[in-house]
Amino acid sequence: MFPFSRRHNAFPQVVGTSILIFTSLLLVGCGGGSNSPAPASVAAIGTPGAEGSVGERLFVETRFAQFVKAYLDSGEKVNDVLPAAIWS
Amino acid sequence: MNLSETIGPMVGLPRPFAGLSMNCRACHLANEHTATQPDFMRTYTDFALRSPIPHRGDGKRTAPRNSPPLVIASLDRPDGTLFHFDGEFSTLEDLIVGTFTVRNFGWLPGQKAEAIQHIAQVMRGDNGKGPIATMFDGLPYLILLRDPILTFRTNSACRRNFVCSLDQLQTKKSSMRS
Repeated sequence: MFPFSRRHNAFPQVVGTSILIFTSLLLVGCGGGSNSPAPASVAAIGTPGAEGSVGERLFVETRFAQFVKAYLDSGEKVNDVLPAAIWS
Repeated sequence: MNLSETIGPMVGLPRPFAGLSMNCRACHLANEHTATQPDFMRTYTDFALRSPIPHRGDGKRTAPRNSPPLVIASLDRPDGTLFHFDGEFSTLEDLIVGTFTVRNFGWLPGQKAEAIQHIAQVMRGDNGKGPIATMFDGLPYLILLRDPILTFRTNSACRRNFVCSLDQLQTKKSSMRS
């Protein structure tokens, strides 16, 4: 076993306290000034609400139905709006 | 399909998205009818004994059951999640694929590959100017799902290759059949 593991077991309170301190320093450091860099990158945490927004759009998307496939097969395009006349 | 099926005296309320074909919300209702019926709020379920499905000339016009409520449906449970009243699916991913590609959306048995191809065609060709897209941000799906600004907290490779994955899935299914 690597010594890191034993050390971790021997001084759990030290490790825990150290994490708290570093975290506190990090938070204090990030909190100062209006020129501070942007928060954690979008690539890392995702755009807030993106999943819900896109999910909601897919939830109400009507063009995945076979009815629309039949409509496209008649020569129409994906973005054409279904005319009311063909809907019964 | 232009009416929300109900039991009792309010049979035939105008269905949301009537005239635009089938979508999930057609049966998983929320506040569609509260304007005229204040106590008709739904928890993403419907009013029907059996939910209506699109006409395909096979005599079927309803699913075997009605639509399960979606509120708290995906909470973790001690023995894992099960979806639909008969436990048809164990993951939401399977549920979504298994709903978009089957009879609920008008696809007959044996048309799953065709359904996947069609969904990919719609997503590739979408210009973001349709009536549904303009209810949101008006972005085409290809931009919505590939733009690095709109990053999902899901597998990034899966996101980037979402449309390609549909093709791969179709190819895989085709090779399994042959």
